[in-house]
Amino acid sequence: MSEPGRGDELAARVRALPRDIEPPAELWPDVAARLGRGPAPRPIPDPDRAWGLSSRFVSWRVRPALAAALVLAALGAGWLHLRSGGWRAEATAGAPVLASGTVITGATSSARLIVGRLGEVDVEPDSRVRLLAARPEHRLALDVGTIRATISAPPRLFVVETPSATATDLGCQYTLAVDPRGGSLIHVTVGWVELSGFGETSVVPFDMSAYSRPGFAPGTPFADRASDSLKAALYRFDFEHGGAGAVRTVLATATGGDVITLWHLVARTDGDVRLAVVERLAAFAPPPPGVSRAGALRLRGRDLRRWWDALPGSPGTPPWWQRLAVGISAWLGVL
Amino acid sequence: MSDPVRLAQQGDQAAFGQLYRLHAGRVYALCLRMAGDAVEARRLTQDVFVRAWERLGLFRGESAFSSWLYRLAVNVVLADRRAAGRRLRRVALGGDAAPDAAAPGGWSEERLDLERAIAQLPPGARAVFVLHDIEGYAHEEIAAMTGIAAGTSKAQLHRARRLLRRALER
Repeated sequence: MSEPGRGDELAARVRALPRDIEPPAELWPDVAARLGRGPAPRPIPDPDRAWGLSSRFVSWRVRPALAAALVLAALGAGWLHLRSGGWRAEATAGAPVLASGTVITGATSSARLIVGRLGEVDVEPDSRVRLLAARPEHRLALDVGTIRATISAPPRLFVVETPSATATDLGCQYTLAVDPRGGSLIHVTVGWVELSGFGETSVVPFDMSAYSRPGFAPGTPFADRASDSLKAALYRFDFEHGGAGAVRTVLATATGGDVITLWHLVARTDGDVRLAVVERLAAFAPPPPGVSRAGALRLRGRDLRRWWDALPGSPGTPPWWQRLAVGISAWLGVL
Repeated sequence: MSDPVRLAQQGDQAAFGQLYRLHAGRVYALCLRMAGDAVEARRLTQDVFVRAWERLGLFRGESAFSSWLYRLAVNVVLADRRAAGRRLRRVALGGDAAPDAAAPGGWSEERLDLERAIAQLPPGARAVFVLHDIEGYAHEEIAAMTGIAAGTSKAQLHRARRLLRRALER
């Protein structure tokens, strides 16, 4: 293999090429016209994409059972759709505003939302909630304040939009607080929640929390019992451009209880930092048989997903039939 | 807070314009050399900055912003190439859309020859040559970005250099 070296005319000419070429002057106005008024809207999570379910996976793993499952899931989903119903709001303290699809609580008032027959949402004082949709899933917006959601339903039938992220229920109980600047903190007490934005997803299992901030992808989830230094470093990494230094602090202070955090960091880092994250994660939770570190380093979906399934405390990947049932349920809801 | 990256992350378009002015030259050069076509390069440069705006929230300072942006630019160009390889096949010898259409008056004949020869490389060889010899990526990185094996990247580079030497000797 010939490498360019001294005396190589081609190499010398290539080295002399400028790294910059002035673009046409009219380019920026065209770019600016395409930017819109603010950061891009957050995509609605795609269940298959979020869990890395490729069409190829569907074809060779699921096809034999697909026909029978389709019928069963459609029946189940149809039943579920019929029972889910709409919203109902009631005051639990003081005199909150309950009108026009909006719930506003003051300093001394609170309210409860009945989410069809899926569960309940307690709206704490000084909160503002807007009811966005009752189908295909129950979707509300928490503009500011705090809600406590208790949902007993298949995953993805209850969604909360905040100014900085979207929280999708995966079967759980959680508290979600939004500050006046649009930042949020979610704390999960039962089950798990998916926090998404900018095409990136954090899965927050029980006894864990995650921040989000406007303009940023969702924060990396952290365990309640994680050290304060880890939490602070993670915040710097997620929202203050803490970079490799912040990650090194996370790695230095991480324990076996932080494997969920470390797993999320694999895809959020690069180069040597990612390598260090993978090594640290492997020290606490070795990759299961068939999963290679090289695959994880290259962010190969199959390896990351199987490693995730094997992590202590991981909720695992929902079984295919559950994902299928949810997809059909959503489809029925759209009809 | 005066960091244009952080301001842009908060939705400040003026700050994003500042980032554009800082980095547009490098991004445009990358797009032009990778696409081998000035019209495509303009479109791709636009796409890169629109994508960067949409994905600013994913930038966590894990690298310099410039590195993040240039990597994004490479991904945009490669994804575009995968989606519409026909555009690259449109490039013809001395065509109106070749890099000399983008050349300002100050370019030397020698440089123009080289830019033109790069544009005339087969797409795969050109991509590897630009990424390796001009942008400085390692073969392993190129393999990860393009989905080819590192060995294939080395072979494509060898081929590109051979074709360029032959073209420049004419």
